[in-house]
Amino acid sequence: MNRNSIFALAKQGLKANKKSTKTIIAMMAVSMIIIIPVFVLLMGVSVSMNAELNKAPYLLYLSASFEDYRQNEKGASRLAGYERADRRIVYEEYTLTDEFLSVEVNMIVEDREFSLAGETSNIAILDAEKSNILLPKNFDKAGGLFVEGCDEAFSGDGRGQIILSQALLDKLGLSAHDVYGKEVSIYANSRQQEVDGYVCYKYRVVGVIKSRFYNEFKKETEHPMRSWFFVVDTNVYRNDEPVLRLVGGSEGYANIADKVSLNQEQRYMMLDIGKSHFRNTSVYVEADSYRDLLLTKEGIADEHVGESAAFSGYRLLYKIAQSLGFMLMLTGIVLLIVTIAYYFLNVRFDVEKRKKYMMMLRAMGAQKQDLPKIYMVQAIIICAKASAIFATIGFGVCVGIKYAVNAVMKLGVPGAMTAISISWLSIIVPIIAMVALIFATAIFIGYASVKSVSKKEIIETLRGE
Amino acid sequence: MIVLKDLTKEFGKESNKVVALDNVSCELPQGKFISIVGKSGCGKSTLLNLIGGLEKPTSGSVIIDGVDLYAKKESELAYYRNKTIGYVFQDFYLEPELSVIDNVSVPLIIAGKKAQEISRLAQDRISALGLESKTNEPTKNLSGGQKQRVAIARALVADASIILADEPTGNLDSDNSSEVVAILRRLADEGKTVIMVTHNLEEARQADITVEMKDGKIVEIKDRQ
Repeated sequence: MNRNSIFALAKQGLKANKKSTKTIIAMMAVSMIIIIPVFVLLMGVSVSMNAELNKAPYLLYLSASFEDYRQNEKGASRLAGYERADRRIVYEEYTLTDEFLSVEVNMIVEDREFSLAGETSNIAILDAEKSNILLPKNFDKAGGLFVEGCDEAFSGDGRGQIILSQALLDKLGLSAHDVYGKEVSIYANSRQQEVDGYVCYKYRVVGVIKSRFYNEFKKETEHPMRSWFFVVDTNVYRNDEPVLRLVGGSEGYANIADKVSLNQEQRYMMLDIGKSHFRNTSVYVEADSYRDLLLTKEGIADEHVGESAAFSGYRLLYKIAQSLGFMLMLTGIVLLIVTIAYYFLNVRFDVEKRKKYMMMLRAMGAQKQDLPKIYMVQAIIICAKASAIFATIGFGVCVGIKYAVNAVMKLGVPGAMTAISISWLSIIVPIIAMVALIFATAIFIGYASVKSVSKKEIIETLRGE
Repeated sequence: MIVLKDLTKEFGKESNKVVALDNVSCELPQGKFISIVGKSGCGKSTLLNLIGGLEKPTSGSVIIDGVDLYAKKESELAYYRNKTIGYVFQDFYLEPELSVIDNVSVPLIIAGKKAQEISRLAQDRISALGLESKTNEPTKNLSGGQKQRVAIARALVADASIILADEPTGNLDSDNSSEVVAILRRLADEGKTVIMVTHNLEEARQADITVEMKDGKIVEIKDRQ
């Protein structure tokens, strides 16, 4: 049979089951209309929240009680335990130089070997003479030295202060005196200023981390390089006193903010790059490593603990959206499952009911393989109709939610937040994903249900055997 | 000419094997009204199904116009059924929710005809069988006799040269039965080959040729002409 014939017979099949076809289309559309806006809303709020966080690099001035912090004979140090993917408990100890202790800084930049973990942050130190940059000597983009960590803690005008590690300086053949007070440019993931073809931003060197010690299984070993350090965790000192602590990282802002604002003292795993799993109050990562931090608001001045009003708004909205979303999502998913089950049963019932008619089709010249095709086309027609309805209404609902939420938030939250950014993409992607899902399911059901019937003998089936 | 050569059809496995057709051979002329009679289980319907390419014989061959039906591929056999054969069954096998014209159109749709042609041909056949007032009526609303006329219209719509009717009057009252047999008679007069399986000897007498069967064998072929 040609394509037109299959399409015409599929249409006839739907006409023959008009009532159940309409019910299926309605159920599919309604379940999608419930599910899609929830996805979109959650995505939109989450994106907006992250954007807000990125706008405010100093959003989170957190202070840990810093029980691990201690003075030692080499300077100030802190001890943080972390567990590696291989489940070994590893402790690290920082020993900081005097210079570090005597100045106010806002970040620590870790050194790392580019090739160690195959990570791709290209942070390059460029030519000093041309751009007032230090540390140019051994720079080699392919396998040279890199500084990192600034990306998350810094943004805005791209200027700030920096502490470099002694290990890095050693590798470059420089001393702390060579770099202290000078400006370095750092290439970091499409940042603001371009120098010699690299996009850079600049820091004044205010300190050097002299050395670091790692205590692994209680055996003290010095590790010159680490590949996994991505989280920025900085203590800010004034006159030997820790005044505040800045915590940042590629992930975890929202989580930290959440926990701190609740004033919950709990063990918190600071993420490295990689997939994360939340379990109770801990975060586990699949990849390299993470740190275990104890975060409380204890011992810091109120003005240092804060977040923007907009962020507050987003977080409130996110929580509302999450709670509502959970209920709606559950309803939608249950409805979707019921729809699919109903569709499945309906197709099975229809196939059973029309078995003899299908054999008549074969008696009239249809081939075995034509029958599943007819049901597949039926599935496509049903899904296309349902999709057209839910995509149109779902899209409208999404846009409506976007504006409604904005309006409500502007009324109810002090320091009104900016609009939630629900992009077209975040609406279209879930819609396409859902359309693909129901198409795939329906086509599979349509095909699989008829396949076995189509193989039956014509006369035996007509006789009802 | 329809030639049946050493045609045997067995059902079931060794222990409970049933021989529905036992080495049947005969030649049936085309363009005639042929009735097949005999008691239940004598193999009438099986013979009809084998001629129609609906069932494969255990052995032997069905040769129509010099071509062995069961030497054909599955797709060729499907094409043969669509182009050459029209079936009329006791149970009609119509789609009850669809209209008369939708049901009648099916063989033409399978044949890949264009919508306009389908509509024209189907309408012609419906009119020829006196059902024009029911064209858009769902077949579930029709009487038994009307349903069988729809089934005949469907069998004829693709211009099949052989009409196979398996007890077409089995579910009809006497008036409707007579009407259906008369239609089949008329079709044979118009040059179609009509082969009808029936229990009813009165109906069988309307045919040009009567094939009598017993225990899977042909016992007599009566040519009334």
